[in-house]
Amino acid sequence: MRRMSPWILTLAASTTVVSGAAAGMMMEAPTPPSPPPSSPSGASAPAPAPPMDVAGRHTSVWTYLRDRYDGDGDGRITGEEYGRDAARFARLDRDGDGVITASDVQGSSRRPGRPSRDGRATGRRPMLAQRLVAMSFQDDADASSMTVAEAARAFAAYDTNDDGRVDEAEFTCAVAARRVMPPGVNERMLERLGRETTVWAAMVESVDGDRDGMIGRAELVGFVRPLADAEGVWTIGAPNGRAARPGEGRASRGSGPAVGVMAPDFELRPPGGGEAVRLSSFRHERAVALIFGSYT
Amino acid sequence: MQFFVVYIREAHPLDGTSPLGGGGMPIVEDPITLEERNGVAEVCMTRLALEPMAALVDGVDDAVGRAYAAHPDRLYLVGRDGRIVYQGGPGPGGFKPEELAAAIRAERVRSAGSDGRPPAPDRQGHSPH
Repeated sequence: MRRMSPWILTLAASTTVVSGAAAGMMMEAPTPPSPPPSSPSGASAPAPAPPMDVAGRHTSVWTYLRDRYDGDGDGRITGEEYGRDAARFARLDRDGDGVITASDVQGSSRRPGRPSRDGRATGRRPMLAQRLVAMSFQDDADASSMTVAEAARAFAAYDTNDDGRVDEAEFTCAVAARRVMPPGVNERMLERLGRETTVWAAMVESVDGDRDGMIGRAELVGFVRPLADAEGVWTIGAPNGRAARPGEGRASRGSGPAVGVMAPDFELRPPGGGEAVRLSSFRHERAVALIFGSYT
Repeated sequence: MQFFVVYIREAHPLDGTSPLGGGGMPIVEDPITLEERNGVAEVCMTRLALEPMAALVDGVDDAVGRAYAAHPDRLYLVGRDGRIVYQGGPGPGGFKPEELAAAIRAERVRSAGSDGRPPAPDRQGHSPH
């Protein structure tokens, strides 16, 4: 949403009706009585600060989290200090030691597509890397989910010289020896995706944080753990690693309404409060441009 | 022509599976409540200078974002008949404001070429004729 055509913005400035006046446009459907403002303490109470670096002061995710949550200033954010939900805490606590520290979040302080100054992995988990990690470290290659504990167990089994790291030789031997799936499955997947690379290289690209060419135990756990829910279960392939709600299926990856179909109707409110706006109220009056997006 | 920014779930919150933040990228936690998302949306509209457009915020069930397959970002144009006139490709690669601009120009030409606006019904819903 960062890129927006100046022409569109100029046109919007001259034609968009802001929400207060829009209520007068909704002549076809009677406007239901508007519910009270969302803030329970009344319109005059200041809203709590949104969960973001509003002033843009922070250069890193860690200093933002530390200033916001590290109440006793010991450089470790406990669950109690954090106070938001367990799933988000688990995703931040990448090494799974029960506290959020600077080393947990260093991987995320970066622009996309550029290596970090300290060489750590980007923190991104492309679906290909997720699938390769899952198929390489699951107990059962057909399973749709795996746990953090399974990953750690498989790691220990692969690390035959017990040096805390799995290198390409250990990995290749172990995967061949397990015979959990027919040989070549991962290679064929890479071929289908047009990737000129090996399974090891494609996986290491996303997992090998310190760029030593090997996968360390903390790196593997740090890759899997944020994908898992609060119970440590990672539903492989689901958006954000979480199991879909019943009936949701892969709706979030559906194609959306195509040209010619009726636009799905909705009723939403402006962020500052005020009248709800119903899309269908503009029918026969104006065309409506919808710009979907978020700040990040 | 009416423009709405529909503010949906964060694409890269720092506590998500594809975190970004710092080094010039906005530092945002994944909002839990609608109130939190409203707060982030307001900052975003200001920071990205989108205020010529009105903003609406999707509920935390992400229902509208999912109905339009809009995550992480996407552009649509709905015609006066309520039907989709332009469906942009899924973002970020498919998010092309110049395509939306072209669709808007075409829609305005189409509307100007029609018989003119039909008389708007009065508040009781009866046509003036």
